[in-house]
Amino acid sequence: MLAPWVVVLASSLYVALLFAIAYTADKLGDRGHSLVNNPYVYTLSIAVYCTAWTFYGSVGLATESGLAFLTIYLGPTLMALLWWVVLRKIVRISKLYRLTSVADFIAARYGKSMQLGALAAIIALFGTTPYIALQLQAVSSSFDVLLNFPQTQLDGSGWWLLEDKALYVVVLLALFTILFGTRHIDATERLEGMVVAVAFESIVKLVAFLAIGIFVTFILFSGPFELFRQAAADPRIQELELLTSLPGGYGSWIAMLALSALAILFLPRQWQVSVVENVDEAHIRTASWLFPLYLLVINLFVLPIALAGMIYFGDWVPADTYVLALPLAHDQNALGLLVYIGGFSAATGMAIVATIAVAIMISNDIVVPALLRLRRFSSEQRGDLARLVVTIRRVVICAILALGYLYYLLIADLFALVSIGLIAFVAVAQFAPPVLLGLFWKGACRRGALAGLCGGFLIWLYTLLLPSLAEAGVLGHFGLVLLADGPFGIEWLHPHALFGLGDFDPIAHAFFWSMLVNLSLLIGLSLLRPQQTDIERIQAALFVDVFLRSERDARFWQGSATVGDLQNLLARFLGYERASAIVHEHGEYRGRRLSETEQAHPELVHHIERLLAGSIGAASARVMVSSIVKGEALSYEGVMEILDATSRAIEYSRRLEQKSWQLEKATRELRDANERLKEVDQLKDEFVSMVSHELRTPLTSIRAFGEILLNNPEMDTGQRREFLEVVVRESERLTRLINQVLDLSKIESGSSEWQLEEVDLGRLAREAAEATQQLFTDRNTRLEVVIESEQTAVKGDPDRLMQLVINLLSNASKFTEPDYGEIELRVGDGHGDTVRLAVTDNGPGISAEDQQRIFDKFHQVSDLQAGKPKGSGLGLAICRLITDAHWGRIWVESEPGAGATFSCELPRAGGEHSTLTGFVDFAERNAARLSGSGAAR
Amino acid sequence: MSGTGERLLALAVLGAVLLNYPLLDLFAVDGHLFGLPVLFCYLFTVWGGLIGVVALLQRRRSRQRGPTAPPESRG
Repeated sequence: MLAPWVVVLASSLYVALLFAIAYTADKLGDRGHSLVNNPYVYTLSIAVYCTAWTFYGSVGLATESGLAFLTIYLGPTLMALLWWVVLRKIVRISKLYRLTSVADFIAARYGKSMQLGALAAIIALFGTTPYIALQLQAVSSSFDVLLNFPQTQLDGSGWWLLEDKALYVVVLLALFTILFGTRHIDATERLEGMVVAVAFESIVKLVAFLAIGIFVTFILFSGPFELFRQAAADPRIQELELLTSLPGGYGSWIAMLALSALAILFLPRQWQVSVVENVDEAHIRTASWLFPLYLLVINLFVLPIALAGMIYFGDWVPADTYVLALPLAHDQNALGLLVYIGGFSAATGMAIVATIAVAIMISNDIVVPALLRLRRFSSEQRGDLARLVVTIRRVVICAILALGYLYYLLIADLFALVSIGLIAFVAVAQFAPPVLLGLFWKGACRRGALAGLCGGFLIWLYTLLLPSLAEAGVLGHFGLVLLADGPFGIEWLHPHALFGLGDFDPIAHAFFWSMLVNLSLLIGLSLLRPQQTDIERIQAALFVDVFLRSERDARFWQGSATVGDLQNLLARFLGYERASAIVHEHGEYRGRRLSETEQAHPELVHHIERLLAGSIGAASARVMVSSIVKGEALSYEGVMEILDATSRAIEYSRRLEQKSWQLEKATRELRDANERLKEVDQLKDEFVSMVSHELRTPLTSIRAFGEILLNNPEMDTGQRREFLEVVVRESERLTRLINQVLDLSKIESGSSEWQLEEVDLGRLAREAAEATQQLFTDRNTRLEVVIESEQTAVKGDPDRLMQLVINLLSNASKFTEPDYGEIELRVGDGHGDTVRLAVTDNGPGISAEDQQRIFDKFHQVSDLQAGKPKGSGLGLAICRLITDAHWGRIWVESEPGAGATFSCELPRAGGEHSTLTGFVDFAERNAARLSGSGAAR
Repeated sequence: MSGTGERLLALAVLGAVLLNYPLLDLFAVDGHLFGLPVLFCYLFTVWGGLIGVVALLQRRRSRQRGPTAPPESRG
């Protein structure tokens, strides 16, 4: 047992910490070091969804219906998947038009309707009050458990106002909310201090809940397996079938899933943190997976704690307090205190945000419009209304908290935490049809939305609120009859079984009927009576197409108003200085100073209306502005014309941009092609000069020997013959050289004329060997042909392939010693699906340096003994061109002094290489190789 | 709607089917998987899986566009 002063001190210190955090965050924000511009703070602030209900109530629910408690968190997970589609659109619209609450959003969407805004605000108030009461109850009862455990019966002292802790909590909450929730009149200004404090509370409650979960699972029981094993053995738990069935059946499960999915979007506090306090749309990306993760983690230990509590306590401790009772029963007072603080966090976080959110709705959508209707607030009156609006908001905050407290005193003690929360869920689910349909369907009309909301709300009142009041005994005899037999004994009107539909649990039942009525009225009226006013159609188009249009040009006023009048109007709500600053700023935007008496540009009128909307709500702002602007607002057609012109201009410039981009691309391609052309040209020049050089050498020697013969007629016959032989040999070399140059250029340019057919490489090799037989016989070298494989078919041009083999053979014969030469021509399987052809000689071999360049044009291996090149330097270059064109490769392996092996591999016929692309590619590859070999030189 | 939007929508539909009747009925059976009740295992696995896929989708997209990407001109 803990001493009361310890608990009170801990709570007070914690609250003081919250104030300090909020204060610091606000100060930092004022100095420009915003803490909320961060996806993680954003996500944590959305976790305000987890209230005392999650903290204490989930365990209670799990003891009754097993895993059904998870629906409350699975629904939001499914909705979070869609945030990028739905929430982002809502955020964009709300920022553009400075909408500050769900009520304001609905009012603005349906023609800035005051009635709709007021109705939505009332629904939010009705839905939120019991929810706040739930938090107070949780705090108060956790306090009692902490002090009185193991006594669980309250001694009744809680009824004495001064002894009731909930009262102190309410006072502190009111103080906090007023201090950090009403700093500015403009409700679109961020409440940074509040958001950061709430994010901090989300961390505290998560840590506290994980701590108790780990304590129960791993310290009280030795791990989850042991816990589940004992639970499975416990007959009381087995009877409930908590783990093998989902009590409530289909209807209940689906209803809870849908209900909580809508709640995460439409609960006023969720709207506040996820829409109004959003700094950057990109934060939604992170939140859409991090927030579900937070939910998953905080729910991991709910079931273990519930089972442990049932095993440990059975019935004598209320299941809603297991979380607290388990550590206390084991004398873990510090842990108990931590859990209490966690629950306190969860409760206060919710109460603060919900209160400020509803307070803004009530003040902007009910109180201010009502005041505007009073004569003395009409436009002629001067005076500072900003202070008034802030005061109203503060009073409303106190009133909402007082209402919650009252509800708590009246009936909250009678219900489990969860049932109160679910009642609130059904209330706010009524916002779903007008908001979601309104976001994506222009046809949804104001009349339908109003009727739908009204109908759904009435059903909620009748099927959920009334019975809960009756159960609390507030309604006396009527209530008893109502619950037993339906109102005045009319059974088919029973609030939990309308028209005899009694198979559902009350929540699913109310959800079904209210949604049915709400949706059918909204859709039905929108379809049956489609005529809408201009402002309705304008707003519908602006909302649905928010991503299509630029907002800059949305001018809806064609009437006239002077700049001075507008400035005065703004000054009444924002203060004189800010108002003149805003007008001055607009003047700078227009490029000149605006005088007070001149006619305001429609854009200024629109800008001022938007600014006012942030302070007093969209509907009121419109009323205020229209009281100043003389003349009509633009018609729907007029507005659409302006908007379409704008979007046409955008479209036009977009296309222009695209055109210029295409142009740029074409230029770039042309430049590239030109550069390539230049390169090829240069290569050609090099080639020509090299060929000329090669041609000059034999020519020079022919000419030299010819001149010697000419000038020395008396030369002896032996020498003359010798010289003539040189001339003939050099002429032959010249011819060969020219032939090869011709071959080379033919191969390089005319590969498309090649005949592609299946060629048996083995047979071709034999033919080549026969054709060159004379060469070997002359030099007395031995040629051996080895065909290793039967399958040697490749695809290619037979003449070229023949040339390839002959080139390799004559190359080998050239470099072997006459009389001692041994050459082997081998055809067999290569790497992968290829055929290999290899020519091995026993010549002097090739140095490593030469191996790299031997396939380049005109590269000749200088023969150290003879000192004179033997080939033209083109034979191997031609070989490589041919293998390249046949998708193959060629290389040489050699050790100097130990012969050389030239090998080439060609893909087998019937492979995937296609006839056309190979040859087309060849030209490209050839160009690349050419430039590559150019670089090597 | 962007490509991401369509993928997310499909994922949400898939999630709604996986986390609902009649598929849940298949797993609402007596028995243990790795020492944990089958249904408990199933729900948390599907839940974690959905979160993982969204995280992957969103992180990849945000890397492609950068955190302060301009809004799409066509929705």
